[in-house]
This record gives sequence, C-alpha cells and structure tokens, in this order.
Amino acid sequence: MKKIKVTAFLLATMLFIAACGGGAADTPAATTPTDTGGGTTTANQAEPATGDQANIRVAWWGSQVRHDRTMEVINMFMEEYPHISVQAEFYDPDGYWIALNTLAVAGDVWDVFQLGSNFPIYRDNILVLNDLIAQGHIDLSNTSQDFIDITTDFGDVVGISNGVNAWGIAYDPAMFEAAGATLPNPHWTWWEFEEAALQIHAELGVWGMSQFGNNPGGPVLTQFMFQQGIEFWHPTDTSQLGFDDPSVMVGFFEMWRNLVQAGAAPDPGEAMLITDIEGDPVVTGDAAMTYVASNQFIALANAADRPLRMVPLPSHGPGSELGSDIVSSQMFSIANNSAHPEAAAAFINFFQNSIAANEVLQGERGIPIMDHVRYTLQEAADPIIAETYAFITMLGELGAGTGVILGNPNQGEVEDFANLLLDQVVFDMITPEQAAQQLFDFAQSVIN
Amino acid sequence: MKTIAVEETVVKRKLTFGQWMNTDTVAGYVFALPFIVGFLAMMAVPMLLSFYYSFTDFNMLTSPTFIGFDNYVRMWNDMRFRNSVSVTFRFVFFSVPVRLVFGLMLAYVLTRKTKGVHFYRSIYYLPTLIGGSIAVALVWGQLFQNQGVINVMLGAFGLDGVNWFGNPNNALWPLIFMSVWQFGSSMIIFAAGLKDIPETYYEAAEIDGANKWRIFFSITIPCLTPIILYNLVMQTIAAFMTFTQAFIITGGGPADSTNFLALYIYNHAFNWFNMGYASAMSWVLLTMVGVSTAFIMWTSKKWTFYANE
Repeated sequence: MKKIKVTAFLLATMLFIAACGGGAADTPAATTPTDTGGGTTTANQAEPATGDQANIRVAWWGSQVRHDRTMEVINMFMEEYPHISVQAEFYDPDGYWIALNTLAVAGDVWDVFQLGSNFPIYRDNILVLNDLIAQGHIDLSNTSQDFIDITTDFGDVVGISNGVNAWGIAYDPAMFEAAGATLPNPHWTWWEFEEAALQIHAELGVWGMSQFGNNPGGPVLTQFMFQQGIEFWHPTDTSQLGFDDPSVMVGFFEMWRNLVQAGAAPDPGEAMLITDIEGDPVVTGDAAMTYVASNQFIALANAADRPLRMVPLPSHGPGSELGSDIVSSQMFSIANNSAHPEAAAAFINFFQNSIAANEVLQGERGIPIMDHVRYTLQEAADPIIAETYAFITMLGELGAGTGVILGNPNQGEVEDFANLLLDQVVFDMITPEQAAQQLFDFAQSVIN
Repeated sequence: MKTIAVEETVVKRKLTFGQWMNTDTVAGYVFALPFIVGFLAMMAVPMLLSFYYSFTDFNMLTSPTFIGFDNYVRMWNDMRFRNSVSVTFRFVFFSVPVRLVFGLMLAYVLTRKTKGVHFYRSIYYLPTLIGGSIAVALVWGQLFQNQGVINVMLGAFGLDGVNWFGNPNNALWPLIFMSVWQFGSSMIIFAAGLKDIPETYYEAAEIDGANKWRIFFSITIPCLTPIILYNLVMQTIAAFMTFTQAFIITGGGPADSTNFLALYIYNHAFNWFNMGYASAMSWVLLTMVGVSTAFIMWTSKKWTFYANE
C-alpha cells in the first residue's frame, strides 16, 4: 500500500508540474503552482483561448486495475484540456471512507469524488448538477432519462453513474441438470428457488445456494420487500420507515432458515470464511448458485472456468416486481466546496462521453450508461462479459426498475442487526415472526 | 531566609542559555518532553474529548449536540451491549487463568538448567510476538473450520468433528485457545520471578525430605505470588480489550456469540457513525476494567506473600 501511495504521490506531482509548466509558458504572468493549488480563483490570469486555469482533485476507491486505467484517462483528459490540471487520489475501499469522512468534516472534499448508494450520508457535501447539465457542461444527450434517474435524489442530480450493474443469481446450469432441478427463468419465485436449492443439495450433496453476500440483511431483504411494493426506508423522511407491517419480512427469514437447516446453504461459520468472489463455493463446484452483481460475475465466471449463467433474483410470482433492479455501481459527484465546479464538470463529461477514454476503462466500474460508449464496448466483449451485457439488456427489456435504492444514515446499524437476527433464526433461538417484529422495532427505535 | 532567596535569584539570572538547559529541572523536563507531548496529544486530549462526546450524539459528520445521559440510558436497554459485556467477561474469566497456568508451567520447565533452554524459550515466545497479527488470526480461522486441521485430528482419534464457528455455543472457544496460545509474555515474567527465588529455600526443603510437588506448592507458588498478581492484572486488562481475533475470524458472530465489547464499540464508532454512543461505552469498559483490577488488588492482600514482610 505504501508503495502505491508513494507512486500515486509522485505521479500526481509530476502531472501537476507538467500541466502547470505548460500553462506558465503561455502566460508568463500566471501564478505559481502553489497558488493555483490553493483553491483560490484565478479568473483573470489565463488567456481567453485556454479558459481559466484550474486545479482539481479527483478521488476514487478500487483495485489496482482501476487505478491504472483511471490514471491513464486522467492523462488523456489533461492533454485535451491543458488549462485544467488534475490531482489524483486513490484508495483501497476502506481507506477511502476514512479519508472522505475526515475531509467531509473539514469541508474540504475532493472536487470530483466517487460515491455509492451510501451517498445520503454525504448529501450535504454534494453539489447538485442540474445547473451544470442545463448549461451544457455535462452532455447527457447520449443516454436515457432512466439512467439519469438512478443517481437523482428527488429531482436533484447528485452524480453521474460511472456504470450500472444489477444484482442477481449466478448459477451453474450443468449442476441443475444433474440434480434434475428446474432451470431458473427470469420470473422465477422464491418458492422455486428454495425447491431447487434443496433438491440440488439432496441429489448432489453440495450447497444449493452459497450466500447472499456478506450482508444478506441489507440489500437482499430490502429487495425482497420492494418486490412486494414495499420500501424498507421511507422515501422522503429519514426518521420514518417505509412500512408498518413487519410480516412482509417473515418469508425471507423462513426461506433462509430452511436452506441452512437442511444443509443446502452454509451455516454462519462457514459463510464467514467466504471472503471474496474468487473464493465463492460456486467456483470450486461446492455450490450451484450464488448472489453476485453483474460486474462481479466476470470475476466469478473466470475463476470457475465453466459455463455459468445469470438470472434476476427470485420474486413473488405474478403481479410482483421483477427480482432485480438496474442500479448505479458508483458515480462521480462534485463537492459543493469545489472552487472549480466547471472544470470538475468537464472532467466528468470527458470520463462519460469520450470513446477513447472508455476503451481504456473497459467498463470496469460497471456497464457504461452512454449508448454510444456501450455499443462500442459491447461489440468487442468476450463471452463472459457478453453474458453481463445480455443480463442487463434483458432486465431493461423486461422493464426492471432503475430507481435509486433508498438509504438511511442509520442503515449500517439496522442491517447488522438484521444479520444477527438471521443467525438467531437459523439457530432456532427465535422464530421468523419474532425476528421480523424485532427488526421492525429496532429500526424504528434507531431512526428516532 | 531572605538573603538566601535573593542569592538564588541572582544566581539564576546569571545563567547562560546553555547552563540553564543543563540545570536538573530543565534537563528533566526536556527528557520527559516527548512523553509529555505524546501523553497530552495521544491520551489526555482524546480521553477528555471522548468523555465529552459520551454526553453528545456526535456522528463525526455534523457537530455534536449535548444529550445528557441518554447514551448511558440507551446502553441499559441495549440487549447487544449486555450480550457483549457478558461475552467479554466470559472470555476474560476463561482465557486469563488458563493462559497464566500455561505460562507458569512452561516457565517452570524452561528455567531448569538443560541444554537448548534458550532455544525453546524463544520458540515458545514466538506466538506472542506474532499472535496479535491479522495473518495469524486468518490461519487460526482456517485451522478450526469444518474441514480444518483440528477437526481432522479429532477424527484421527475417533472423535466427531466440532462445528466451531457455526454454533454460537462453540465459537468463543477457538478465540480462547488462541489467547492461551499467546502465553509468552507472562512466561518470560514468570521465568524471571522463578530465578529470583533463593536456592537456599529449595535446599532446605530437600534436606527436610519434601517431594517436588510439595516444594512447588509450598515454596515456588508462595514466593511467586507477587509475580502472579502482576501477570493477572496485566493479562486481565489486555483480555478486556481483545479485538483482532473476533474482528478477523468471526466478525462477532455467529449470533453475536463472540461480539466482544471492543468490537461492538468499534462498529458503533466507525461503521455506524455513533461516535457519542461508542464513547459512552468506552467509558463503561474503562470502568469495568478499573473495578476488576481494584477487585483483584483487594483480594491480593489475602493471597500474596512478600519475602520482606
């Protein structure tokens, strides 16, 4: 990590000097790099042709692959916009939030920063992009309103999605056939899912289902309720829940208890040892299904090295919502403390719309929302990546929602409690009905 | 008296900077300065701040609001907190005595004058050096998994494997074993204590015809009680603050059966943004450690023996 940070620092410094050096040659009276870096407006110094000299900071979290590709795109951007210099800061997923929390308290957040579905926590630090879009600083003409809606918070565009994905079930068709289980279809039900998992376990002795991620009490439970037309969190009021009848959650607790107690899914101890996608039991053939996001499916299928398919999450049968939603994997937002919002917007615009930039990025953050970019990438995709494009396209054709997943500042604590209750139900310490009631009571007491 | 005082001030005024720096008082403060700065910046200020935060709803993002004793009242009704306290006490109660017995046993064996004692002492100290690390916690998790080495060994003896981490009744035990395995630091202190017991006591006992067991329980243990007290207090304090094992291996589960108080505090503070509540719980933890230590010290009057008394 230290090495990465040092390299990052050196790279950032070099870019900075290079960019500022160029500007200084054009305008001998230009300020020194330290002055432009201080965040002060330098409106009158630059030549009209190059626009205002601006220094912006861009931050994200991710893997080494993402760092390398994003740095390359930043270089491309600075070549095209010589008057803007970009200082890159990148982190591992944990370090990012620590850094962001500190900067948020200080009111000094990076000009452009990456956010996920937890954006409500940082809502006060986000610049609403509606004006910048209306003024043409960010060109959204190549995407549909649906994709803009996924990062829109009650009419306020809080960021532009860097890619979309959808959570669903990855499964091994060969294992289904060997066990004589009915293959999943896009409209399958939770009951059919449980049947299949139990049958695969009975016939093949492996787990039917490996896991619902490390946080089943979070997004999966929320989705289970949303399919019944019920929101866990209130859409507008963070001091209220979106529902008042805990019984809508009972089915989820029952389903998971049945699977674990039958041995068709890992017990909490075994689940704890599954730490990453490549370590999922599906990879080794010890499970027939697992819960992944479409961008994670690529890693899973590559590690498994045998044909896997993706279907939406099970649902509640006729009349219920489709199992999976198309969601933003993460977005770039602009900080409201930014001194150069227009330069920041120019960066986001380039990142979204440049074909050359996206050929470098290769949809690593999710499937691009810009049509022209998506078509270009799709043509060159390998079979595994093509499966994820097909999955998202199928969801779109079936009319999957693209709503923002509602969040609440207290959701982390509530989700952890939901996971505790799932454990307790599995160990018969409480009944599914009690679990639903306790979760409802707890969530209500926490948000008040 | 007056004249002396005047003389002193005169002397002080005449000092050059170099001389002033070399006076005992100043030199003392200069040498203590790194500690004083460190103590104030890293201990005193954060502690005072956390005490203040424990009466607020501080969430790290917005400025704190004073809410009186609400956090402490909340703790009283928080079942997860009560469970954490009980889990932590159970861990302390089982891990500390067993660890001390192991430390003492090995120290006793390794103070005998046999060849390679230093080598063995280093080997047995090794777990303590590496024991707190994340890598070892990960390995430990693998050892106790369902198809892990421990269960394979149990199988070799014809015993049924135990589902260590998949059963709330079992999950605490691997963490206790791991803690016991790190007996090295108490072993070293015991070894030093054993060497301090005068040979003459043992010689006298042997002449009187006492056997090994009698010597151990009537001479070694009583002479060692101050050391036992020291180790007991230090290990108890450390055990109360156990965090890494649960954080890495079990995540506090299953069903909160390994949710140590330190882990629960960490989650509230850094994952759920309840810094105020976490601060309040830290102060309760500090109080619990303090009371336990005081209790041990109070009972110690009944069972420690000092040779010079």
